[in-house]
Amino acid sequence: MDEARQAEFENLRRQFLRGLAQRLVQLDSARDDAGRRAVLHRLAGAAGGYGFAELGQLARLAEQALREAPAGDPALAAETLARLREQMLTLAA
Amino acid sequence: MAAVETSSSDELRRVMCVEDDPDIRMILEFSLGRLAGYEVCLCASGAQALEQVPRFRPQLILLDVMMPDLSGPQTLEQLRQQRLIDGVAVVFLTAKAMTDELEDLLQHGATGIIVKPFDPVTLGQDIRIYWQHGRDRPPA
Repeated sequence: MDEARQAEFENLRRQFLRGLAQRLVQLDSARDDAGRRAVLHRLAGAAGGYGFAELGQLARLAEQALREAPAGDPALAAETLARLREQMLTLAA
Repeated sequence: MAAVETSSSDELRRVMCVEDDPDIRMILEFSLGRLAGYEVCLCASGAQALEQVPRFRPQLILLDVMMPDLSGPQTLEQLRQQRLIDGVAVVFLTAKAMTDELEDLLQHGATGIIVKPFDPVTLGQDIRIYWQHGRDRPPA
């Protein structure tokens, strides 16, 4: 990627980070786990493309934990979501 | 309805991306438009894709799987029923990575699958390979 394109990419990354606050609002205002999973699914798909692999991985883990929570471990889902929130707030700051 | 005329060009030029997440649409435009040099048409929903395909005449459609209202597979089915994509390569874009889910998606007749997150630097080349593969394959 040449310098000009790299600068464009950095701008897009900043825009993505600015949008994390909105994604947090969507996550917190989702009516149910299905709504939360949809928000997490989109975040998991987007974050890695912008180079935020760890954020994407956490979102994917949280989505999976929520899907399995009824039969699995609800505490794990809550813990993963808390870690994800923390990471989103850190990146958005 | 008559089949939409598709390009017989040897070069992949027109790519349609159907994706409901605005951030992913933005990185797709950067990757495929700015980096790879394709003419890109972005659609936020399956319904929008159905409307835009006859005008844009894509050679390849990158189609998100999980979308509200019309899902990727449902959109593909409607595009087929309306004879809008004869000769067009369709590649699913999905965050699902389980093998059985991917095989299930291929059963819908897509040319290929790209798993999110994708690398914006190499995506243009990846879809070109699928497009060439789709041209070599007899129509379904």
